[in-house]
Amino acid sequence: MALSFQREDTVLYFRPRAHARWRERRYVLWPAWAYRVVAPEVRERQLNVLQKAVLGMFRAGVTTPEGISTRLHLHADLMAFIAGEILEKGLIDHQGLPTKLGLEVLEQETLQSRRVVAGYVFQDPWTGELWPRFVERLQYAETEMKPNGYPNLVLGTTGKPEPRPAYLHRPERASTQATPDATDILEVTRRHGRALRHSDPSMEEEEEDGGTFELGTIDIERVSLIEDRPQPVYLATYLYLPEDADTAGDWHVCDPFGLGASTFLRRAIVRQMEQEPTLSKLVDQLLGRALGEGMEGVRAWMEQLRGKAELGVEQRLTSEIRRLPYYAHVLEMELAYLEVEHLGTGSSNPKLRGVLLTARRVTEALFAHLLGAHRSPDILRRISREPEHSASIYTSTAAALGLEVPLPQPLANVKRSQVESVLKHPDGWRLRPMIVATLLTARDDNRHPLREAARREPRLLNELELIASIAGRELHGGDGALSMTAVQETVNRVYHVVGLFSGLANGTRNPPLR
Amino acid sequence: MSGGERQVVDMNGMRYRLGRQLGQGGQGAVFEVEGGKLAAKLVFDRSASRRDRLRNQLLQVKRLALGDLELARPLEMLRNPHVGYVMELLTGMVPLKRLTHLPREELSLTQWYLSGGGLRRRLRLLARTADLLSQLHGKGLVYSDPSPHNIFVSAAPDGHELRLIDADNLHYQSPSATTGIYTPGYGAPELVRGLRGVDTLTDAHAFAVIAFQTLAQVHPLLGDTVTEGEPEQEEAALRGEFPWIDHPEDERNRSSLGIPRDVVLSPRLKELCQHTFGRGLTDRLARPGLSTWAERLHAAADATLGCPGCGGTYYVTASACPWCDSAKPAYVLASFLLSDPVVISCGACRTGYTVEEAECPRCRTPRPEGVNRTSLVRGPDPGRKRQAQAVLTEQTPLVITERLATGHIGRGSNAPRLEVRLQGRRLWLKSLDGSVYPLSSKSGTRSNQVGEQAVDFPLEAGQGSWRLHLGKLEQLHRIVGFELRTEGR
Repeated sequence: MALSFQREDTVLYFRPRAHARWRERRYVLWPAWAYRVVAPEVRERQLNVLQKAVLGMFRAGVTTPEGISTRLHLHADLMAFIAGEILEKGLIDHQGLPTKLGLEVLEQETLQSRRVVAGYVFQDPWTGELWPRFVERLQYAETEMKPNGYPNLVLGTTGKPEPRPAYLHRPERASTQATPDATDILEVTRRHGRALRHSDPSMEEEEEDGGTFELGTIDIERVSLIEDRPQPVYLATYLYLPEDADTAGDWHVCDPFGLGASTFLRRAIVRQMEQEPTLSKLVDQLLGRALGEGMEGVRAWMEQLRGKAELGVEQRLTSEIRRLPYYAHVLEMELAYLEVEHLGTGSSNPKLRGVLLTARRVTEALFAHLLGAHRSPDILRRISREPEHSASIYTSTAAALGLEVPLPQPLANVKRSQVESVLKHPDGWRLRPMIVATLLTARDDNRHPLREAARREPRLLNELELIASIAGRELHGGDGALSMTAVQETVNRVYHVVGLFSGLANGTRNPPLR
Repeated sequence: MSGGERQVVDMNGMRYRLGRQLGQGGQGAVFEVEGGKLAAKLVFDRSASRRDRLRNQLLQVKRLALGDLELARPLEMLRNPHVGYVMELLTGMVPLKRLTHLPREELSLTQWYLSGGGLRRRLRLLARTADLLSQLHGKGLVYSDPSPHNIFVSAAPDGHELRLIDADNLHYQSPSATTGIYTPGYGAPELVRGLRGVDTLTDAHAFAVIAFQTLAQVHPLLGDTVTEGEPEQEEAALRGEFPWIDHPEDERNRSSLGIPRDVVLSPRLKELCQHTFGRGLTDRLARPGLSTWAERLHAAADATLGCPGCGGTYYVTASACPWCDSAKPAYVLASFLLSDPVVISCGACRTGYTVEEAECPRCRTPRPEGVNRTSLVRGPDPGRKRQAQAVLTEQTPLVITERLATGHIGRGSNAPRLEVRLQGRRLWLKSLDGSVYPLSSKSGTRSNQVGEQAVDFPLEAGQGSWRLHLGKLEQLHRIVGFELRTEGR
């Protein structure tokens, strides 16, 4: 019988905690497959990095603050203070010799435990990815069933239980993924150990730990699954908006295992939001409520709007868009768009025009990036000062790349000198010459993103021309009445183009979920 | 348990790291388990035979089908060399002793009494305790040692949670019970005399002492003569050789301490005390059972009113607040009546008879045409139709629970069904469980419904109101009538 998630499945609560004080939060019960396994024990950090280094010095026979200071290049007073701390912990004696406990702790801090214990690892039901967490014991959350059959989380104390509404995200079509093997399980415990040793719990462990963690003598044969069939569970955690004004625009989600904010879960939530409107609405509510509260000050409101804009961009282009250099421009466009959307009929023509300008800036930044990343100085040789000749080169190039021809007239009219100018100064704002220069560059570069974009959208040049023309008209003092529909279409068009060139998902013309 | 790393292992091989010690008694200690909502109770006893006996007793308790009774029961047994068990960690809870014994440093009994939640909270906590013990008795089990030390309640003064600890006290009732454990002051006279073992009646005695002490702040058997006399007199009093302090005729053991009983005991609670500490001292079968205590304590709590002056609570029958003498606020008395649609009431002699009969069996008056098929059944009090009553004010809304709606006591009886609020002279009703409840005007000519959307109607002082039906009209069900009272205004 195929395994599936039910509303009545076990809810686990490992005391999730935010990386910062939160202003607003929403509880979520997130599904996972729990596998019972035998794996190396994961221990919490007992020493900070300085204490560990100083204890290591004592073990090596360097016992004076001055000696330690010389070797660690840190001040002798600080070393003396830390030596006092580890003396207080009973890790060294008054002669400066590490105690038995001190040696044990040092070993535990530097080697992965050799002791294997029974416990659980957790798997994402959609991707099969394992959570980088290992727990020895499941900690069951108390829940109470609402009349609609969904559970409320019951927190608080035994003496004063506090029911909290929680959104249960039940995968409709989730199936069991590849069963984790010994190597996967070992990797989970290794990553969990590293996360625990990380100095800042809010920073999820992603990178290598600089060699401070060694693989001990784990016999991989001793690491195994106890049961092949996983157990469906829900991990209780919460989404939150930090109280700190600087980061208030951004939402986070707690690691369900109590290690601060989780980028792993945030990614999973953003992925699911695209398919599950209720989840999307939950995040919207989180941001929306804050919006309501922030109306007293425009500054606060704008910050919160920014959070919503970030979410909107991620929904359209996935969180990977943050890595691209023109992300700031995309965000600016979404922010401007959301602002007029929230103002509704109160949006003035200048406001609407402002959105179009940001849309054009995104397109300019995109092409500036393409020109910077894919250089081909020879392209000028192919075109002449004769406009008709140049136009025919542009057309044949476009046709060779699979783009629809004839070219829109304004693009065909781009002069050689304009192309030359943008090649010299790719950070400029002349959009049409940049488009043409990119077109010519792509002909010589088999890995140029325009080739894939052209394959997916043969009308790409027409789309670009529409953006250039409406935005350009406004930029140069257009005075006609603008409609919200025209603005929305242009924004959607820009998202579509960015999606095509970046290769990120959702480069469609569908409006963002709002 | 090693000194450096204190840990214990259960029968399934699961290891538990022990955190801080939460408490220690004569038999053992309780430790917090690291990283979870668990605690471990470790029993220290050097006698191997006693350890084995205790381990077997705990195993038996663990196997008992206790459902979700509010007991800190063994979840897992510990493996040798330890004797003990892992149980739920009680957070935010304190022993009931905090509500029964005035601390030495407290100057005002009244202030301290009110800061602990006052009369209504004490009544409610005691009702729930009685309810829990009654459910254990229903399973053939006795708790053996009820005392304010092993009944834990919410630490917050607005909390009503409850847990019995020391689950190793649980025993099956047996005529040959040899266990004679009790906490001094709470043992039934036959236990103190060593005549019998523990049973439901010894639990009932212990509970009655706890209830009286929690409400009146004085021990029911320790009057001035005893407390000021020789220690032997106290032992004699606990053996039942003195009258209780409020004996209606025998004044030998009167107490000058405690809160006046009229303030804290309803007439029906006084009656239970009289039965328990009067005849019940010598005739154990005269003691009321725990279910009776539960029902009457709940009813007493329902009939309390919140004082807007001091925040205290008191019986609605009082003329003013007994704690601060403030006038009574306007309140609504909700009367719960039982309606049996197959019984009709004779218009001439008020005799009830079924609709199948063509005439009144007593006076032979013919059954009227188009008679209202609803008639009210007599309640538990002589001469009254009321099954229960509850009070609400503008400050304190009423939640009609399963218990008030059906009279059912025990598991699930606290589940909320409806909320009733008073705003000015209008009453607002809202369903809390998703059901739809019929409303009918007093004359029966108009009807309405209460769902999740609140409905409201006006109230006139001293006049009847719309009636809320807590069940299907064609079935036996409770109905509620609301009456606005403005006595103190």
